[in-house]
This record gives sequence, C-alpha cells and structure tokens, in this order.
Amino acid sequence: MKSYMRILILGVLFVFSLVSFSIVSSAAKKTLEVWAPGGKIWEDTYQEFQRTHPDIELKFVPLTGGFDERKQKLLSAVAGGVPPDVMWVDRFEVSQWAAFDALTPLNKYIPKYKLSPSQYIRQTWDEAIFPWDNQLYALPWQTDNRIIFWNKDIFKEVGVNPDKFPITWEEQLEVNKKLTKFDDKGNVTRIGFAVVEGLGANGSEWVLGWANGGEYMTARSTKVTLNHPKLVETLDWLVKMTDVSGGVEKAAAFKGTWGIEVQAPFFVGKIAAMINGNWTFENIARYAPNLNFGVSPIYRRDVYLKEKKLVPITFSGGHAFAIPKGAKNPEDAFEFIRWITGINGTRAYRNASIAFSKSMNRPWAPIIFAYQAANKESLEALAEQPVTQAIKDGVKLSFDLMAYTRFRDRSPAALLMQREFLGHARDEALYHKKTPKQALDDATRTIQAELDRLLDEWEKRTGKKLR
Amino acid sequence: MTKFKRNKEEIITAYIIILPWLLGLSIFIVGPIISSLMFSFMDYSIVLPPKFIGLGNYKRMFLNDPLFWKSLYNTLYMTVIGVPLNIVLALSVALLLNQKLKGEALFRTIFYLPSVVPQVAISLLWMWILNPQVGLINYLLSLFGIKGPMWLASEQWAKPAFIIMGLWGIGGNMVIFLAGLQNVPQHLYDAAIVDGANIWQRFRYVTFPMLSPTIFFLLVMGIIGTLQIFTQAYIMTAGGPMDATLFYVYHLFNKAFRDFHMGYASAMAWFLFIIIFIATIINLKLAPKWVYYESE
Amino acid sequence: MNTKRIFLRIIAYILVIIGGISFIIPFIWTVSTAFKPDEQIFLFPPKWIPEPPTIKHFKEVFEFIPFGLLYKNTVLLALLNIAGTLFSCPLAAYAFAKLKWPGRDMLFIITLATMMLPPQVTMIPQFLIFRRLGWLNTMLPLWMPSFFGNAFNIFLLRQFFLTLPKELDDAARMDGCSFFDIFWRINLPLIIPAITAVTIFTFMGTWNNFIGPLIYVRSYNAMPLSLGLRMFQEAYSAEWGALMAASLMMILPVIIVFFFLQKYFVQGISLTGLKG
Repeated sequence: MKSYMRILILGVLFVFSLVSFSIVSSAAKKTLEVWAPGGKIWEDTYQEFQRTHPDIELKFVPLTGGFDERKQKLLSAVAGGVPPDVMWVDRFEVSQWAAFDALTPLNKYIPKYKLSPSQYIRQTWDEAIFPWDNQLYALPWQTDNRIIFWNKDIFKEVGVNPDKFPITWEEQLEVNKKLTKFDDKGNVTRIGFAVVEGLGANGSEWVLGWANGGEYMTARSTKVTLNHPKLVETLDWLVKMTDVSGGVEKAAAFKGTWGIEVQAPFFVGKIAAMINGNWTFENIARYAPNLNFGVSPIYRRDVYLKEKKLVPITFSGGHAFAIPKGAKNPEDAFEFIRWITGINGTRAYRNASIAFSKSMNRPWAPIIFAYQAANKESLEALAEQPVTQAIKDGVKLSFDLMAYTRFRDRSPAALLMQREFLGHARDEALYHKKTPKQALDDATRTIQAELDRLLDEWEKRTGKKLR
Repeated sequence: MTKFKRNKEEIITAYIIILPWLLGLSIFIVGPIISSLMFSFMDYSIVLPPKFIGLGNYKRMFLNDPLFWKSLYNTLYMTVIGVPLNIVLALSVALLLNQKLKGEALFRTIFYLPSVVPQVAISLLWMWILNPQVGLINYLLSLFGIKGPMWLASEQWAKPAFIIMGLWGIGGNMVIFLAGLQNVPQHLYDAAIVDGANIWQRFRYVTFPMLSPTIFFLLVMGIIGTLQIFTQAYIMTAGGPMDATLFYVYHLFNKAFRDFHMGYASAMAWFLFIIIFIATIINLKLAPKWVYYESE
Repeated sequence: MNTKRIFLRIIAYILVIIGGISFIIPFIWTVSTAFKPDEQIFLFPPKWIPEPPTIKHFKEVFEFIPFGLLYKNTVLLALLNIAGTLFSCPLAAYAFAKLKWPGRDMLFIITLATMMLPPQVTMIPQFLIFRRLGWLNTMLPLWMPSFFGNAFNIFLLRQFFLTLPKELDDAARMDGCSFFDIFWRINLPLIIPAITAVTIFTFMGTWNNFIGPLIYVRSYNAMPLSLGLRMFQEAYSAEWGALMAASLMMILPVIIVFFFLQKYFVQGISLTGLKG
C-alpha cells in the first residue's frame, strides 16, 4: 500500500512543480503585440514594418477563424485585462466595442501625425467613428462595394439586350422572369437576377433599400427606422423577385446545388445576373477567365423616378485597425496602424499579394484600400497584370464607385440589426409568414428595445444625453 | 454478498486517488461555474464591470424573448428524437462489428471516419447529400417513388435533416459500445445457447443487461450533449430557415458574444443547467429499474 | 443450423458493406477534393475523380502556414493530454465505482453537473483563472487540466468499473491485496477496452480542439493544427483545396492510430475464463 501512495504523491508534486515553474517563466517584456490575420501576404507586410521600424519589437499573433471566433478571443483578453496593443476589427463592429468602452479614441493622435480624413475614403473613415460620442476609434484599412454583374451570353440567349442592364424595378422583374429557367419537374435551374443575400447576391438588401430612398436608422443611431415605408416597399419587391423562382424554398433548394462557394454559380451560368461584391473580379479572373460578363452600378431609384437621372449608389464594408483600452504600448500601436493603413503599409501588402499570386500561378486583381493614394498605385499595378480588359474596366468602375458609397448604420446594436433584418424579417417576408410591413415592424420593435437598453446604460455611464 | 464494512484503509485510499480530480474541480471548474451563476443575476457585458439586476435577465428571458422559447423547443426536439436514434444505430453497428467478421479492423475504422473528418470540411458534402434537387437522399427516395422534402430549405425538415446528419457521427458511441461488448463474458452466451435461446433472446437477456451501464452512460451524455448542440447549425444554416435550427446554445451564443449580453446568456445557461440536471436525476433514479451492475 | 449461420453472416456482411460505403463517403470526399484543381471543387453533383489530380493544394498548405511546427505542437499536446487523462481519470473513476467513502454520491452528482453548463458562459471566468496562474503565454491551459481529470472520462470509466464482478475484489481482499493493488492488478486490466476508448477520445479531442487554442494561443510556437486550419477561411477567399489537403494530412494519423488501437476492443482474456 505504501508504494502507490508514494507514486501518487510524487505525481501530484510533479504537476505542481510544473505549475509553479510556469508562473515564474512568464515574465512580460514590453513589445508591440498585434492581433491580425496571418498567412504569407500579411506576414510579409509585418516584416516590412519590422524592417522599417527597428526600434519597435513587433509581436504578431495570428488571428484565425471567422468573425465570431476572433471576437471571443478578443473579448476574453479584454475582460482579462490583457488585450493586445493593436487589433484587427470589422469596421461594422467598431461602434459596439466603442459603446462598451473597449477601444482607445484616436482623435488625439490625428494632429500629431498630421492625419486628415481626406487622405482616406471619407465613408470608411466615418464608419470608424462612434456616432454617440463622435470620436474616431479605428483607422480604416480596406473596403469593398457592390455592383451588378451579368452574363452577356445568357442575355443574348433569351433575347435581352446584353449591353445594357435594365434600370427600373418593373423592367428588372420582367428580365428576371425571362432569365429564370426551370426543368420539367418545376425545379429551378437558373436564377435570373439574384438580389437576395445568400441566394446568389451579397449585401444587396442594404444597398437596394438606400437606392429606394430608405433609411435604417436616424443620423446618430438612436432610433431604428427599419420599417421606413421605402424599406417596406423594397422588401416587397424582393419578395416578388424571389417568387419568380416559385418561392423561396425552391430558390434555396437550387442554391444548395452550388455547394458552399457563393460565387461559383455565376461562373457556370446558373445565375444570369446578380448584385455582388467587387472581389468577384479576382474570382472571375481565377475561376472563369473566359466569362462574357457585363457590370453596371446600382442606381438610385428615388432620384431616377423624380428626375430621370442616373445617380449610382453602392454599399461598403471592410476592416480596420484599433487600439484596445488597456493596451500597454498605445504610442507604437498608433504608429503601426497609421503605417499599415497608409501608403507604405498598403504598398507592402500589395507587393506581397502580387508576389503571392504569382508564386501560386494565379491572376491578381487589387482590393480597395481605404487610403486614397494607395488605390492609384493599385490601378497602375493592375494595368501590368495579364488579366482581360473587361476585368480591368470592372475594377476601375468599382474604384470609382467609392465616391457614392454608403455603410451600414453604426451602433452597438448593429449585429442584432443585421440578424433581425436579414436573418428574420426578410425571411419571414420571403417565406410569406408575414407581410413585409409586419415583419419589419416587429424587427424594428425588437432592435429598438435593445438599443434603448444600451442607450440608457451608455447615457448613465457617460453622463451625456442623446435623446 | 458480504455486508460492507466501513474500512479506514478504503476511505483513505479513496480520498487519495480522488485528490487530483478534487483539485481540478476546485481550481479550474467550480469557480467559473459559480461566477456564471452570479452573472446570471447581473447586467454583464464582459467588457464593462457587472451590475446586479436581480431576476431581470430571467424575467426578460421568460416574458420578452420569443426566440428563447423557440430555441428551447428546437433543442428538445433534437434531443427527444435524435438521442434514442443515435444510440440504437450505434449499438446496431457495434453489434455488427463485434461479430469477428473479416476486415473487422477496416470496417470499424470506416464507421469511425466521419467523426474524424473536420466538420467544416464535410459541411460542403452535406449540402450535396441533402440537396433537394440533385442530392443523394432525395435521389434514393425517388427510386421508391417518394418525392423528397426540401430538407435544409424547409422549416419542417431542417431539424430532421440535422438528425440524419448526426447519425453519421455515431462513431464515438460505437467505440464505447465496442468497449462495452468486451465485458460481456462469452460463457453467458454459451450458456444461453445451451438453453436454446434465439438471437433476440440472447440479446434481450444477456447482451442488454450486460450493456445497460454503457447504454445508461450514453443516454445521460447524449442528453447533456444534444441539449448543447450548436456547431453544425452555426456552420450550415445560421439558425435558419425561419429559426428552425436556432438551437438553444446558438441563441445563447448570439446573446453572449454578438450582443455582449453575457449576463443574459448566463441566465439562459443556468436554466438549461436546471433542465439537464433534472433530466439526469430522473435518469439516475430510474436506473436501478433497468441498469444492471455486476458490482452491486 | 450451419446454413442458418452462413445466411446470417452473409446478411451481416451486406449490412456492413452498405453502411461502410455510406460512412466512407465523407472521407473519400475529403481525399478527392484535396487533389482537385480549383475549378472542379465546386462542381455539382461532385466529380469524384479529379481530372487531372493535382498536388498543388498540398504545396499551398506549406506556403500558408508553418505546417510542420503546428503538427509538432498538436502531437505534443495530444501526448500530454493522453498522459494526463490516463493518470487522473481511472483513479477517480475507480474511487467512484468501487470504493465507499463519505461524500461519494454527492461528489459524483457534482462531477456530472460540471458538464451541464454550456462552456460558452464559463469560458471567460476560466480565462481569468489561467491568467492569474500566469499561464497565458504558454501551452499549459491546453493540457495541464487533463492531469486533474475530466467528468466525461471519469463517468465513462466508472460505468465500466461497475460492470466488473465484485467477487473478484472480495477474493483479492481475502488474499490481503490493498485497494490500490486491486485497482492496478485486477480492475484496470479488465477495462482495457474502455481505457482504449478514452485514449481515442482524448487524442481526437485534442486534435480537434479549436476553441481552447483560439482563446489561449498567442503565437505560432504554441499553435495546434486545429487553429491553423482556419487560416484557409479568410473573409474574401476560402482556400477550399488547401483546407481539404491540410485536413487530410491532419486526419491520417488519427485514422492510423484508431486502426491500431481498435484491436484492443477484444474480450479481456482474464474475463473470458473467469466464471466458466
């Protein structure tokens, strides 16, 4: 009996010695800790920063996984009082972090570094401002936008003018009917014009609502206006567009035939036209270089109906770099985010991504940076790339559209709004469970209740009054 | 059976060998559990310091959150239907693979394979298998003249689709059954055969009682696990269509990490805890009626 | 009798083969996608044989992430966790199953209860504990707790200990064995199949554990594959081919380990001859 007790006690002692050893060995050193995406392109970029900033010791922590997963990591670190110095965030979530006092306002650094909003695409800068206190909480890095893509060959096949995309809702509904195809069992085999996110489109609901003159929130994001008459009208049209394929279940069933990659069906002619993101260009170059496609901006319906004028509109999201509250090294952190979003950082990233595509034998097309001057360089770099003229023209168009872009309303309830709007209200209308008006009314009530709760708490904590 | 005599050596031995677990419980596990209970009575956003609000979270949950009820229903549906199906299938496969067939090692490995392949990787495959138009399942149904449902696109069929997917994950339970079957002594079968028992009788009177502790384990764990399902819906349907696959922990996750509403999520977690706890106690109480322990 | 037996065998084979085919599909899918050129990955219905097969996704894996380093980390973690689990769990399970001591049933209920709370709500308090212990920049949070046991394995092993006949222990007591000797020499060998199952689960659990590394790992030096694999799914471009290739390389050892461990699912020799 005695021998096993000795073994056990030794085992327990062993474990505890390991524990205490580890406590001693984790003494912290002052470095710049950056939590941002990993992979070859990014890591080359960080190396360039390290090379040009020998006095800063950069410690890069690769952030992997999706949006929600990154958030769990950051939340634990912030709650534990051990946040990184710099973190990569979706601009869409900046206001939520800011509302909970988890980010450092950057305004005081702006004069010191002679930064100006005009160096960046204005909307991307504004999206990093929290509208309740009007402070800047992140520097924007990259952005995107939404355009109409269509397959010219299919347009020819059904006898629609392949060179011009129809403008009005009525025309678009007509064309959608013509382009949509069924097999003899009544299954959809081609979607005509995809305008619903998840069913072939991306970001379409938001931009179509604005295009119709709708607003989702009031200017300082204190009131939800998701049931705005113009948004109800838009959702109603979306339902009609979806019913063309025999109802949303049929469309969803057809969507399932694409697998998980949302862009593939357009390349193989299963979607004739769609509202989708500018990243589609690089995908076309990579997966379907011979596709005969056209692109057009989305135009504002309200202006067109009134003045017969074509004013483009689009929708942008994107990422940014922020400094969490409690960061140990905010000065170097700001230098890092200024550098990486600025001309040198974007140049390093572009060069790395071109080199990477080349090494992988893939075509390259630029992303849109938030930093204005960077995009000129991107277009120059694109000119030398072996991609088709159609792709070059398309990319140029998407760059030009940034002047007309909008972003989703910033608020700490933004994620709830996204869920209630696209996950709920829209589906209730598409599945004909509620009328668009009912669905949006209900969602508005839910979001407003949460927003009020957040506002109460924020006003109490900061002593400011917004309402 | 000899009457148990309280024995000092036995008690000391027990306390020594339970010590690591006791330490583990008190260092790593009990603290967080108690904190979460406290958070359930607080307004806690993770980032800001928590504030006591009494039963506020619970009130909101029961009175003001239709998704709470919906997600609870979804999860109970999965548990009531999914858990028994899963156990029955796992047991059948384990019995089959315990027959000393040729290539047994290979088959056992094959049946375990789907549990090994990362979920993200096979979600793509499932989209195809369950696809109403070109998918495998509806094709097989059509051979029998049945028009298959819309599966993941349909409010009624999305949950059954998840249950079917779950059946591919029986590998783990199969492994436990295989281990359990090794504890059924061959001489019991031999005796049963001598008595003229047929296959069913041998299963009913030998295998089943001998396996009952294993089945009991899988039942308890199945309930605990299924009431907490989350990942697949997160990857494949985002809770849709029409919240049909918004499971309880998915809703909780939304509240905790998307809405920074950890206090509310903790209240949800504790309500779930109570449900699971009651279910487990019922299981433990019913166990003596059908679980047979050689030891007792 | 004999023809009936043969008939049943044939049915068993048919069932196993049909089941086997449906269960091997996900794996074949992974293999086939890993070797597919980009443009064939999304074909629907799927193309099962890549034309022509390519190994470029495997090259991509090594370009994207330090695969070797992550592999090493994963193997190390798996071994540590297995060692920890096999140290702590059988002991605790034996105490719950075979020994009588004050507080046993209460502690058993508590043990079960630790599994009943969704981990999402205990994650952050747990993080604070590991921070206080000073473990944040180490791999300790990912393996050290296993040396203290976990409820699932303890419960599982307890159930198996309970199936062992008590007469064995009583006989051994008569012969003057200590309780630990009974555990070590008599009970433990009889539940080797269950120990094998626990080993497999621990190995798998470590191999696939994503959320733990996500929260605690702060450098490539401590990063396991489960986390690295997610780098193939960035916001704008999911690298499906590379993801499949990496998954394949990641799961092959698991399959091999399983293949060799499953042979322990045979009747313990001592048990067969026991009461006969």
